[in-house]
This record gives sequence, structure tokens and C-alpha cells, in this order.
Amino acid sequence: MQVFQYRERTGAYAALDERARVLLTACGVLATLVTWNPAPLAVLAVVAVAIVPLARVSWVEIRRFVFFAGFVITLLVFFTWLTHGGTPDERRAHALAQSLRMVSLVAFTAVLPFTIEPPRWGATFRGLGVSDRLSFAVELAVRFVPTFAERFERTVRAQSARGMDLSARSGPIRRLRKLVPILVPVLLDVIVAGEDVADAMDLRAFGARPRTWSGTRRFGGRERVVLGLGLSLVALAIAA
Amino acid sequence: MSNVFRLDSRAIVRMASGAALYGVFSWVTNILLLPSASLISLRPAIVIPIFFGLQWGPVVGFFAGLVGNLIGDTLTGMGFFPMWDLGNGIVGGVAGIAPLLGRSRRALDLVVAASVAALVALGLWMQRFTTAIDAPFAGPGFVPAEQVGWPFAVAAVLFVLRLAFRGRSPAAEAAVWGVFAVLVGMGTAALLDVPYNGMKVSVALFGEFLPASVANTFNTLVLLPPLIRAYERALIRRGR
Repeated sequence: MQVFQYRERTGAYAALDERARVLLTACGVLATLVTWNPAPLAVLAVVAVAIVPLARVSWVEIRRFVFFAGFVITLLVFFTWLTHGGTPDERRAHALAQSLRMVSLVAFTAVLPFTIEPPRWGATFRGLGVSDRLSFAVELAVRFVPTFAERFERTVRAQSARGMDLSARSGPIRRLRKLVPILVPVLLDVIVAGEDVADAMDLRAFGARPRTWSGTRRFGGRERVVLGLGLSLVALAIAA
Repeated sequence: MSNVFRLDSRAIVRMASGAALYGVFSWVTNILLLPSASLISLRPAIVIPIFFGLQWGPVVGFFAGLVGNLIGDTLTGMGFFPMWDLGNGIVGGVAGIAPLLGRSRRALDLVVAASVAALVALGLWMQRFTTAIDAPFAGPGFVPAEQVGWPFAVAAVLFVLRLAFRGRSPAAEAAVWGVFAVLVGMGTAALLDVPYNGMKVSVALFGEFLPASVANTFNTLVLLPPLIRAYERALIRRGR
């Protein structure tokens, strides 16, 4: 199973320290949240969407993402437009601002899983000041995903070999109950394996002193420029 | 009580395991979409953060819900919806209050009674505000949907569930904790979508909260009791 949609990329965005990318996203999201003015929101949406090709993320990679996000945005804007009070002009203005806000929020955050290598999430959070333990928990969660997905597939195959038929037509409660023979063994398997991982961490004196993180990058001039761009977006949104 | 807030190696592994497992199961079930104002899926995996919260406290439950939802949405390519990530975290976190209170029947009674009283008070307070809205399909004097007494409906659901499950097995009673957690988490996420996405309260309540809470309540009531019973049997077999 492919973990997230990450693959190694080239270009200016990929060369940036992950912390700068996360901070740019955080600034973009913050700027979007502080304003309902369509003019700065349009700027933010353009910047957010422009980051996607700059990050060398292709249309093929994000088409599913775009489909789902587009579906949600269209539905939410439609329902809000339908129920929002005020004159038709006010309703149109609100719908426009809401669409730009949601496009901006989704586009700013969308590139991160495509461009940050899964094992780098822990070091990135640690570099941003999050505690060693929480950063390691995030990294461990990301590392567990392919293992658990494999366990899940193996359990489904094993239960199918014993005659379980998930596709058989039946009522909703019966169909949900059919998940129990899959959920229970996977969960117990995960908990037991987790005990071994925790024992291994204890044996290596995890938490006894500050942890070291491999492959830490430098927050240099380029990263400061990117941070400056993010802060100017926030200032633009506040000033508008 | 202090143990559930201590981030030792076991807690870290459980947080990571819960998040990864929730992410993987969500990824498998996110394709079952419900008719709603946004992209709400029938997600049986919601029992995982509730289970982790019930077993190991609010920190583990919150992390499993928050990071697990992020992982699940990333794997599915559904985009980022921070309010719903937070809402899922709250589901696990609120379920984690149960071990803090000793998972006693009396604590559950108190929590449900306090919630019902708060919801009834909120419903009575909201009746003071009856305004006409200018929206399509609604003439003058139309009472906005958010004021037709949804707090009373939620209070009634909680009260009836508590009565229906009173005196049953601890696993069945834990399901009431799970439903309480679902109502708090999904309610918070839907209501935060009002300022975050500029939605009307009625759209948030009827288009998001209602489908999300009904589906997750159903999943919790069907899947959580057998999951807890299986885990308790496994603990006895392992002599823990």
C-alpha cells in the first residue's frame, strides 16, 4: 500500500525546509480565517492554488482530492446561499467569499501530504517546538499505517476463507455486525503488538533524555522569505 | 487519575496505534457517503477513538480521533477539514472522561442528567429569539430551523438511550458514553463550521450535525459493546 500520496519531488518548494512549508500553510489558513472580504480572499486563493504546481504536484495526483473538495465546497456554498438572509446581492457576495475561503483553505493544506515525507513529520513538528513525545507519537502513527493496512487486509482474507461474506445483502445492523470479526482481531493484534513496541522503547530508555532527530534541515534565507510571504498574507487579510 | 495524562511510552504507542487504526479503517469506509450538506461518510471506524478513549483516557482518545481523522482523510484524498478533525478528537477525548470518573454507573447518570438539563435550558433560552428570515422557500414569519427545538431533541435522545441501557452490561453502558461523546464531538464540529465556513446554523445542524450524529450513534451502539466485550475476554485470557 502506498502511504499517503507522497513521492520525492524536485524544485524550489521541495527544497524548502518542511517547517517553512508548514508555517506558510499555517499563515495562509490564519489569513483566510480572519477575513470575509472577497478581495484579499481572492489573493489568498490565487496564492494557495499557485503553490500546487510550484510544489510539482500533478493534476493526476490531486484529481480525487479536487473532486471531493469541489463537491463539498459546492454543496456547502449552495446550502448557505439558499438559507442566507439579506438581499440577493448580499447573498451572492457571501457565496463568493465563502467559495474563495474554502478553496484557499483546502489548497493551502492539500500540498502538505504530497510533499512531506511521512517519516519527516516527527522531526518537522519537533522543529516547530512541539514536544519530543507528541512529535514521536505523530511519526509513529504515520509509520504504523502500512503495517495496520496489511493486517486489515490479511484479516479480511482470513475471515473470507472461513466463509464470511461482506458483500451479502442484509439489513444495516447485520451488515455492521459483520465488521466485528474483522475489527476485533485487528484491534487486539494492534494492542498486543503495541505492548512490544512500548517495551522496546522502554528498553532503549525512551524519554530519559531529549531525543535526537535525523536529517534536520537548516531554516535559512529562502525559508525566511517564505515565512515573510506568509506573514504578509496575514497582514493583508487583517488590514482589509 | 494522573496516569491518563502521563505521556509514557505506552501512552505514546496507544495514541499512535489508535490514530493509525482509525485512519486505516476510515480509509476503508470513507467511500460510504451519506446524503448531507457536506461530505459525511458512514464511518463504523468511529468506535476506535471512542474505544481508545474509554480504555486509556482523554489524551489517547483525543489524539486517536484527531490524528486518525487526518490520516483517514489524507489516505482517502478527501481534503482537510480542521473543524471535523477537531470534532473527531473531541469524540475520543470526551469518551476518555469515563475512565477519569471510574466508569461508574453513577458518573454516567450524572453526566447524562447534567447534559439533559443544559440542553433543556439552552432550548428554553433559544425560544426567546424568534425572528423572521428572508430566504427562498420561506415566507415572512418563518421560524428558523435552528430554533425549532433541536436541543430538546438531543436531550430526549440522550435521556431515552440512558434509560434503555440502564442496568445492562458495562459494555452496553459504555456505548451510552460513546453516544454522548459522538453528540458532543459532532455538535462542536458542526457548530464551529458556522464561523469557520460561514454556514447558517440551520445548515450546520440539519445538514451536518444530524447526519453525522445519527450515523455515528448507530455505529457506536452496534459495534462498541461487542468490541469491548471481546477486548475484556482477551484481557482475561492473557491474564492481565
